[in-house]
Amino acid sequence: MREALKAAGDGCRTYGIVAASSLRSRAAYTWNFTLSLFFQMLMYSADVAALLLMVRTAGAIGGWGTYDILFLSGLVLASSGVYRVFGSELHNFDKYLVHGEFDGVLIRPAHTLLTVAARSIDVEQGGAFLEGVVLMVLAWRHLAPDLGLGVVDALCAALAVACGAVIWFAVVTATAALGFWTTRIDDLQPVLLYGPETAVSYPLSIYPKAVRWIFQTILPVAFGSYVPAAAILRKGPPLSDLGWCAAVAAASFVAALGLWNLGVRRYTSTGS
Amino acid sequence: MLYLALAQASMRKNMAYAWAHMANNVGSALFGVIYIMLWRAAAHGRPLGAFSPRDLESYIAVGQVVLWLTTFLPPYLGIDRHIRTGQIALEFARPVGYMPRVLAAAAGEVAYNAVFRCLPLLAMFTLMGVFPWERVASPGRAAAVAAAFTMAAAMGLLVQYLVGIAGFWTTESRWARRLYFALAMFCGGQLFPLQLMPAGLRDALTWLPFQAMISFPVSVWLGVDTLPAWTSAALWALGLAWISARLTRKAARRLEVQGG
Repeated sequence: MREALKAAGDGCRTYGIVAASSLRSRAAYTWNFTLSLFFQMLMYSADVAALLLMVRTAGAIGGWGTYDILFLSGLVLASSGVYRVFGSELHNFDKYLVHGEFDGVLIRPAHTLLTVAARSIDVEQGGAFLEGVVLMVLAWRHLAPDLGLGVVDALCAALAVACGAVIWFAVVTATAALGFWTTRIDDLQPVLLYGPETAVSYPLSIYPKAVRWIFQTILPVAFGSYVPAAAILRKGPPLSDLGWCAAVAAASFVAALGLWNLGVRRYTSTGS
Repeated sequence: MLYLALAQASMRKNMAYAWAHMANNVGSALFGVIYIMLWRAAAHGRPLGAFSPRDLESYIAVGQVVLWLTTFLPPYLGIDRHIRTGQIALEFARPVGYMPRVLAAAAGEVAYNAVFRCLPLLAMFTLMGVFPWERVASPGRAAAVAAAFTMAAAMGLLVQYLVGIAGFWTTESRWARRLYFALAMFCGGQLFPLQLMPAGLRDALTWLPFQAMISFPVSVWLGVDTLPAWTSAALWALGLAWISARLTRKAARRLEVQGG
């Protein structure tokens, strides 16, 4: 037990050192950083604006009004923003496999997943998180009086963001791990990552049963988005369902880590 | 002839990854399906503005296909890589103009996308029964669609070229690409048709270049195009070609290469 704790402590320390150096390198280009963050937020605002125009024209979508959808979209943006910051290197993992850069990762003293993730902390991508939180707060201010939302609900919303972040991190890790078999992952990402991320930004009730089943089982991203949002916004499921969300998030991460470790054992390097 | 050879070479290079791109096509179709479901739920069987529920689904399906001709092109058309690696000095030293060479190679990518991205998507949406083939039944409509798609593809290339060439004035152009995507998707009416937008916003967006890349070709296919949309697209295509040529000349004068 003591050994495991020491290994975890060492891993965290290594992560901290590598992550700090990554942050310092980003901070060297303040102007680009600021512009990137701003335009990142503008990009997500454009998506949200199109969605709001749609709800305004239609009245409601799947029984969800403007602010309900704003809250749901904000929740997905905030939680996926976390993986964009801390998992950006996993997101671009195929370069390690195509050029054999993963060889260097194998000889580092920390766990390979931790080492890869720490190599780039993409703070500019934090725009998604910031914007998500802003959208959630905006929606909250309109919905709270009618729904009687209180402190417990606010804590549940924070828990929902955390669960979503863990689930997205698990998905991005699992997608990267598949690269050990497929070498390239950029063509898998639209199906496993971007598509589901877009899909669960809207109420799950608009999709056919089979699609809902996929997002609640094989790729359980609904537990970091629709399920907690529906519970918090009093749309059916009780708040206690957030316990399930936390359990699914933990299970997803363990499963993704297992797939990663399996992939690392299969890694055969590359050469010219 | 040289430019045709460049386009062919670029197309052949992509063909090596044709099967991997098929997986990506599934992702693209998935996005189309998501947006179609979204519009189906929003319309709830009613017409919205001038669009029937079927029109809204068709709008998304044609739009997903158009994106591969106008928007989903190689990032910065590879210009950023030329700048970052110093290769740009050699590129400018060649006896043939930089801009036409880059655009010819990128046109090869567009041709590849037309065959290996658009056709599979067309097949998928046709199988789903959401692709509006009936709207281009007459030769006149087909000719209008061909002209609009060609103009839209040219616009897509020119806008990407400008985003890439912006790298001469910044140390990196990731932010420029983000700005481009935000503007292209919203102002181009990718999810929400311009025709359904509030009048003032719609009129303003009609005169921006982005509508020419998505909304314009899709509207021509659906037969809901307008004279201002055609005028705006034609003026922007000419204007962007002129601006791009000027900026390329400025960039050549600004060129600094370090190393040794």
